[in-house]
Amino acid sequence: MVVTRPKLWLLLALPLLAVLPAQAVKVVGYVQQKEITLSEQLQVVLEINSDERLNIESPRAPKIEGFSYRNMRNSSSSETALINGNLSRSYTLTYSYYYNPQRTGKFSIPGFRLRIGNRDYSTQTLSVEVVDSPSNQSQQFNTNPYIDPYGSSFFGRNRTAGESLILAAPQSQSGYVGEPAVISYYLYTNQMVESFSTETEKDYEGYGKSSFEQPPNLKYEQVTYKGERYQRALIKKLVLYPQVAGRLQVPTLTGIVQFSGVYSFLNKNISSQPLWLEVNALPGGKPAGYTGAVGNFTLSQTYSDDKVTQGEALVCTIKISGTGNFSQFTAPPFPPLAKFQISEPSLQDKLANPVEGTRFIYFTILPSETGSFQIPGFNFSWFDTSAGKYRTFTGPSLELTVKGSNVLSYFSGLLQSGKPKTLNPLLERKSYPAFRNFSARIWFWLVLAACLLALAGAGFMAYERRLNRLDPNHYAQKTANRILNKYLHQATEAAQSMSADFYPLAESGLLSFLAKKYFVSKGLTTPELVSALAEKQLPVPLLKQIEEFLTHCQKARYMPGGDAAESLRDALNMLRSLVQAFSRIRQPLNSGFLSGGRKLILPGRHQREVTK
Amino acid sequence: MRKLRFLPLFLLCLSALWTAVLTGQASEGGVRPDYAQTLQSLLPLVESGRQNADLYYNLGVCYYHLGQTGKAALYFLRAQNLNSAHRQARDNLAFIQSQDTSGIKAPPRPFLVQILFSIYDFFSLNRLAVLFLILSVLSTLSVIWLLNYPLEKEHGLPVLVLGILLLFWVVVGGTLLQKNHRFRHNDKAVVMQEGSALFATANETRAAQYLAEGSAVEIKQAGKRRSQVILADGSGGWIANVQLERVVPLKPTGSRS
Repeated sequence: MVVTRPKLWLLLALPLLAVLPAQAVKVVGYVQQKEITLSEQLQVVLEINSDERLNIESPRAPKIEGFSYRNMRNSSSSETALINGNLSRSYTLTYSYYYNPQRTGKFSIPGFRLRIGNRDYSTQTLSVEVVDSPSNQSQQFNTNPYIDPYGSSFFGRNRTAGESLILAAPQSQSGYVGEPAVISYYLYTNQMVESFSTETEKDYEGYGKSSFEQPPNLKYEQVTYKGERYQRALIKKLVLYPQVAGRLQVPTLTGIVQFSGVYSFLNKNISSQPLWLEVNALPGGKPAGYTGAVGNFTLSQTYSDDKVTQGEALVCTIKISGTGNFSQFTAPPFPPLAKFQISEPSLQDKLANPVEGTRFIYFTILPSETGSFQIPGFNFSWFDTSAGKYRTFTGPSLELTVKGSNVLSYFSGLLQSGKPKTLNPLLERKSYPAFRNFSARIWFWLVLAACLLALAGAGFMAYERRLNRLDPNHYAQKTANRILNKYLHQATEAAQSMSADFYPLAESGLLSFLAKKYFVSKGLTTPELVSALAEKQLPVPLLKQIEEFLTHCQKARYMPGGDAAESLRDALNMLRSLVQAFSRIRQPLNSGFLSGGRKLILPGRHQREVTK
Repeated sequence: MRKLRFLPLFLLCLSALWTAVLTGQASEGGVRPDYAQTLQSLLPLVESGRQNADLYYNLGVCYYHLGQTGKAALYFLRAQNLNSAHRQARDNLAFIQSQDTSGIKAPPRPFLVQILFSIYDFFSLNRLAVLFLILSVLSTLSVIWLLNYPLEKEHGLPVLVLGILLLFWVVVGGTLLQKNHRFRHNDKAVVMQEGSALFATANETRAAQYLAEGSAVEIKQAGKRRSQVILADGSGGWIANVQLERVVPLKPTGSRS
């Protein structure tokens, strides 16, 4: 129902809307059913929730392909909650748009776009599927879009004489502060009423309220009121949450009754008749941790496990079932526990209606140390309206074992079904060291480089061993040359520093070289050595040179003035000429190599071609 | 060979040590924290450029309790970007996603895929780096072992050990490279405003759907005004850049890494 206002009022209201941005506004759009049949109505609901009372125009009904728009109804509700001494209010405007489906298929419902204050709000696009009606369902909606949906069930009244009134009926005439009071508003009529649309709800001081039920159609029943027969249909059910003791007047509901047929011009505004509730104050002596729960509840408490690993969360679940002011109380904090981090309580409601159902409270408990711990039970207090006194529930305590974590404990969550029930708490940290990416650190690359070096070294050694295994002669020559170079280098250094160490170094180096290369013993005397080398077919001049050098070394070692500069220089020159002579004879003649770069097949198990 | 028997035990102990270090708590619970105050004490650290998974995690918890779901999801994702094994951040992110009423949900994963992803997450960047080094050392040792293995003996065992180690080395090395790249160029972003419009094309003016604050998306293509994103359920669209915040902020043009 769209209420037309003069433009002047709109102009006056605009500056007021501009000062609204500070308020918290939440806009939600949804459909009652995601799948309907051709014989059902689609109800698209827009809810605007704010912490201040809003005064806005009814948003336009979205145009939905495949549907014909039928009607719109709006309602408002407010809630007042007193939680932990803080009074909070919230106001909700609800717009319900009714559509009739025209064909089957999947349809998209555009979101609402509206401006509240100086801010734009939008809701998400919704979808709905229309399916064929079951064959046994004969009821079809009238396709005339101008007929109100209420009229479809309104038959049997054919007179306009009589009266129509709204009566408010409480579930109970008295109650306690905080105890939800359900008020039902009925349309009583003995006229030919086509439809009724709610216009306003006038509120009074001393309570918060929320909508309990608002049927989309008027479903009449026969009743007797003041000795006369009436048709009665439920218009709305409200839940009031009294905040103060005393006599409270329930909201006055005003609406328009529209008559059917030729009498449709006789529309009539009617309001509910006044009704008061007697509200009693809660008795004194509230238990510690009382958070305002009033009603009849049964409680239970469970822990997810009695053994956890460090870093793994223990979940404590408290189940509160029954009837009461669920929207008016919250959970007290979990009892303090040393060496544990405890999350804020997380609430999950499974309510059949605003005052009846089950609330689950979840706490996540994170142990910080290993060992055995006693976890105390959770305490919850409420005012029991049936007994007229406070009650306190204390859950069973738990012997918890916390084990050290390991690799497997990280994966333990895989076997747990369900989503996390609550947010894990803060982690207490004395400091927050900067994250260091190990793979960007120098030591990471040093270790990798060491591995590569080790691989290179091992590879080289393996190559040498293989060479030795495959061709011992060639390997011996290689090592002999290395020895010769090594001793030549050492001897040169000794000679340059005028050290008498030159002679033993040069002598032992030459002997090692000859032993390695020509397989002669290092323990031979000089003549024996020369004789042995002669058998290896070394050139005679070279043999002479060897003999001269060795004799010179032996003499110089024991001769006075042997370490004289001139003597050392001569000996070094002799050694160099010897090395040069050996370098000219790289391979022994009996090793299978020939001069001139000719190829020769080596004897032995591993034959290979070599080239000089 | 006998020494190799201790290898799994050694790795298990090492991993247990890591897990203990990474998940250790040192606090006393029971007192309801002042989230606004905690946030104010942590923000200067972040503004100074400090990167720490626990710091990001605690920021996320504070933001969530202060009603900023988008920022909360962003910091949980940042914590995971630094340490994918941050279990509390993972759970909190899952909790926020379970609160999402927009109906955009990631399809459930088969159990084995869940295990694989858990293993992938367990090996955070630094754990992978350490594991890669261990495998490099072990591979080097097994190469040396193989090279020095007596010729007269059958080489099957050292070859098998080396083969297995090299296979792990390649897998871990590849994953390390991939995680390093993701650490520096994470394409994930978070929707920062409730009811942010998602458009079918870059220039479309009519929204296809609206996203909830805190929805995690993957940026496929970044434009000047809008970015092409992929939602958790695999669908895609374009969203205004101002409504997104990246897990790894883009460096200003011209800056050097």
